[in-house]
Amino acid sequence: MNARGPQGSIAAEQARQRSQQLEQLLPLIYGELHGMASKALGYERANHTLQPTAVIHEVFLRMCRQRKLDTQDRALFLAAAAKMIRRILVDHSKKHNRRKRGGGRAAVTLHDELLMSPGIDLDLMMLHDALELLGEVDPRRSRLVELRFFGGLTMAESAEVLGVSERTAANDWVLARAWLRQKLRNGPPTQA
Amino acid sequence: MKEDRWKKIESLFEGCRQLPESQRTDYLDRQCTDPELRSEVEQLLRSSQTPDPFLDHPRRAARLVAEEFCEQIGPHEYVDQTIGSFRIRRFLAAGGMGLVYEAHQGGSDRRVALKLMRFGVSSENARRRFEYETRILGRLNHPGIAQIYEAGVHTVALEADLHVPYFAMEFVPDAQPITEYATTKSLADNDRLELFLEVCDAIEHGHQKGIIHRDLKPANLLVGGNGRPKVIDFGVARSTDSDLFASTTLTNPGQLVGTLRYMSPEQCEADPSRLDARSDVFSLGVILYELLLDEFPYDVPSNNVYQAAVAIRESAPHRPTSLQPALATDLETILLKAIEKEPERRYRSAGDLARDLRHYLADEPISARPPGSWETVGRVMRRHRVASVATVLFLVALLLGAAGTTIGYVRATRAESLALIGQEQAKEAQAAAEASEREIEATLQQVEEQARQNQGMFDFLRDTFYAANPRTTGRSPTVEDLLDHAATKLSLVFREDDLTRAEMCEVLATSYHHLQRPEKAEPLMRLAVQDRRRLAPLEQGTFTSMIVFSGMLLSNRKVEEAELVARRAVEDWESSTEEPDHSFAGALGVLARAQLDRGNHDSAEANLLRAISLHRSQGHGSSETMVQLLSLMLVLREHQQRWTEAARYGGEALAIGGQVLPETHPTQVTLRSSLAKMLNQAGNGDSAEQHLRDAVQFSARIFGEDHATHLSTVRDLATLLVTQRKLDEAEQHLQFVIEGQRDGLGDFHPEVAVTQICLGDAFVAMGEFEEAELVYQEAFDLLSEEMGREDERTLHAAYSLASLLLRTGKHEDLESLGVPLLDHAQPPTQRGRNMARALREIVASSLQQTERYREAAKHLQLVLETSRHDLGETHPYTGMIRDRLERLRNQRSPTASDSP
Repeated sequence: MNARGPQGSIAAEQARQRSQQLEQLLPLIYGELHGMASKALGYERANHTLQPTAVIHEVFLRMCRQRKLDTQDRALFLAAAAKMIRRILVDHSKKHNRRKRGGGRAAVTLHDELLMSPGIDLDLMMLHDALELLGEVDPRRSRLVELRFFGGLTMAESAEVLGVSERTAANDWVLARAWLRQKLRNGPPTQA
Repeated sequence: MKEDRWKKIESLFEGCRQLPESQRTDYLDRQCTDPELRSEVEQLLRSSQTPDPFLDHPRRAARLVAEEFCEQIGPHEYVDQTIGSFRIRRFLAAGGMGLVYEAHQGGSDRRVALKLMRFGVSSENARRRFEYETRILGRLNHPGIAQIYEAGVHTVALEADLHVPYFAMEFVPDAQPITEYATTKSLADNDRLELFLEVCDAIEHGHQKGIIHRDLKPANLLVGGNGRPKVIDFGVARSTDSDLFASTTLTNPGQLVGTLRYMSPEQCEADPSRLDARSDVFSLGVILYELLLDEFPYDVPSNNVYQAAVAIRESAPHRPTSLQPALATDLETILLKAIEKEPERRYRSAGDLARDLRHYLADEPISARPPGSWETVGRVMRRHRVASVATVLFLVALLLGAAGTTIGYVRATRAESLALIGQEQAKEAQAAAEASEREIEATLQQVEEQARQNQGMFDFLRDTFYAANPRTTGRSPTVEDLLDHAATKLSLVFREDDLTRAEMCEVLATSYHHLQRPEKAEPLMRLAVQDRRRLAPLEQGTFTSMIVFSGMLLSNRKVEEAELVARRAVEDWESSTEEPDHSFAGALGVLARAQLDRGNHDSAEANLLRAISLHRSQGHGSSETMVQLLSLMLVLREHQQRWTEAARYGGEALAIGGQVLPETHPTQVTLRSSLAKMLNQAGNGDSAEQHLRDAVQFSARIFGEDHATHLSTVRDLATLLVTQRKLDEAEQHLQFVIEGQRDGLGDFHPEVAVTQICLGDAFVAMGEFEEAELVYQEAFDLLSEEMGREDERTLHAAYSLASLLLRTGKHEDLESLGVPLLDHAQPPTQRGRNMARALREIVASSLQQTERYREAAKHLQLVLETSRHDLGETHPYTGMIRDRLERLRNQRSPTASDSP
């Protein structure tokens, strides 16, 4: 935390203000994201698969046009979208499990077909819980993880949103990642 | 306090990171007194050095999050929406191909299962194709098949170019997949079989209608609360082009593998157009296997799609009795036959499979045989992983060739029919060869024995296969590789005074011919004929060889030489001591075909009639060759414009064909098409329509719906429908054909333009002149560019366009199209000349209507001259033109005041 300089504070203040502007757009983003979900169900358009990430980008461009957003605000938009995606997924998981088994949450699991080996899936609800826990003691690191995993922001973009230098963000990342690794992969990695 | 603790952890962690590893223990000794805290920091430090597939790749993880988000949230977005006439109530399930909802039809309480496909169709053509396919599916009507009530295309809001196909299907209440049902009810084996038989009957119904399911798996065989099974999603994969391997958009590999387990090996090879009913038989076999043994026939890895596909294609199934020793041997035989790797060796249809199962249940002998002698020869080939259909063909060809004269008969008939049907159908002949597998199988043991006795041949084959071993060549050899290899070794191994060389040449040449490699087939066959004529000039084998050679020349459009060779074969035959038997009659047939192609109708007729009567007197009145001979008579009569007689020959050929030709023989299609054409010419449009509809059904089943032959058959039907005034149906068919031809042949293939001309005709009949002009013009542009201005098709397009322009009074356009085209036009074909003449007549009419009588008369005079030359002075057309010219000349004289 000692890495934050005066420059950083100004940047942080500007970012905060623009963030606030964006907050007002959250309901709109919410709607757009829902629309995007149905649109990107693997549909092919002119022989190209609609990539969900590409759709998020499309949503952004549309909002730029409609709401006079600055294209410079892409990172901020993605940050808002990341938060929203996370919230929608968690709500969905709660709702659907209530319906099914009367409690708990449905698993939302990521697996990468390129990896092909079992046991390396990522349970998004566990990730969410871990981030909540981390957020209680270290909101900035928790936010950093959210930006990168749910929004796909680069380290530089994340730093911009958080109003810190890229070096600070990169430094923050090491501990956040180590802590998550330990939480998510069931205890200490003794085999290593 | 929690935060304080975290602050400490953070500072210790960061402190350690600044230091080399060796100094960290010292550092922690000094800085941290709390052992618990210390252990946590140490764990974190270790974690920070342990790689993690997700945490180390946040971007990839974010992409997967976005995908998962869409998968989870997307389907629910449709709930409460209205699609077609249905209101969506509840999301039921997501499958590889689509999302399934419970929906209600607006106004009524009818409950349906609504399936929204994942694959959008964007082009207008793709939509038409979807509509065409689904109309066919709507015709499935069977208690064992979930009825499709409605299919349509839903346009996604905000995305005008995104159209999502949907199906509304019969809802099966309390449905369970068949395997699950059998388990929960603990059904006995025979009850499972009975249930499965109901499924087979339903699938057979679809097959009878020419529809393949393509995605059979327990999840698509639902047993409802009433205990009756229903097949769902029949043909759906096809109509939306979402055959699994054709699409690459599936996000969940587990889902794909779930379906993959039931896919046939040919489906794994990703060529949807090659699939037929036997692919469904395979899937049924796997389901039955699972139903009876609660296992899969082979191990399919669950997390790797490509390995799974390899396993399906290559691994041998577990013997059912090894899993369950009490299983009846007959049941094992049936199971193994259903899941044979090569389609040729499976049951031909769900009906055949059901029949054998019923035999088993009734304690009657089954038709399937446990793997036997065929197996032993086949194994050699399969070890080397050659494409299956071609493998069988090649093997058959090799063994038939090796057997020499003993089964010369089989070879001779095959050679004749090969020669008779010609190049354009050579590919289809493969289907015929497959169809008579049973007959060949019977002689195989004998053949094998002979091959072994002929040591030279045997060694040669062995060496060929050895050299083509994938381990030495680095890839799986194709049949052509094998043939090439054999061809190069040929003259090294066999001496030129050895008839075996000729035999081997013939085998290779026919195989090349099957593979549509005429440039390689012809020289080999020529060599064989030369060898034989030198070594055994007056033997039947030599004649047969010449006839086959002549047939190849015919297919390569070397008509003159073909006639020469065929005539010499016939003459030699007559001067030899060999009996002029039915094989001789076949030779006459080939000669007649060559003569027909050369326009020598009289000789062709004499030879054909002689061949037909020879065949009858030899007791071969009902044979494949007879069908071909009668078909040639049809063609001859067509040339002579004796339609009624042509139709009579066609009818006779069809009657015999019905008895002797397998259902899968390509002649089933071509014969019906030609017959229909004759009937239509003879004025019997209704019968013609019926035969063409049959032809379309056959061609869909034999060739598949993408195949060029099927498409041109559909086009024939559409053309007829235009004259029958069934215009809407005609248009739909033609749009489907154009789409298919563009896909299969490319956008600029002349066939596409020919279909466009037909479509233009349909538009004209509808009175849609603007549309018609557009497609005619497009067709003309394409053809004149690709085929030149004197091609008969180009002239046909020009003629059609000109007639339309005349009709709509666009005289200037007409003349600027027609006049330069006719200038110095000398079309090389008769039909081209006919078209040019007709075009000139149109031009003359246009000039006449715009009162340029002198020019009109000039053109009409030319029309008259060519008509006299081509059709003769007494032909009604010549007479008509003569009268017109006379009237025109009267009109031109100043006294004439009447206008046309």
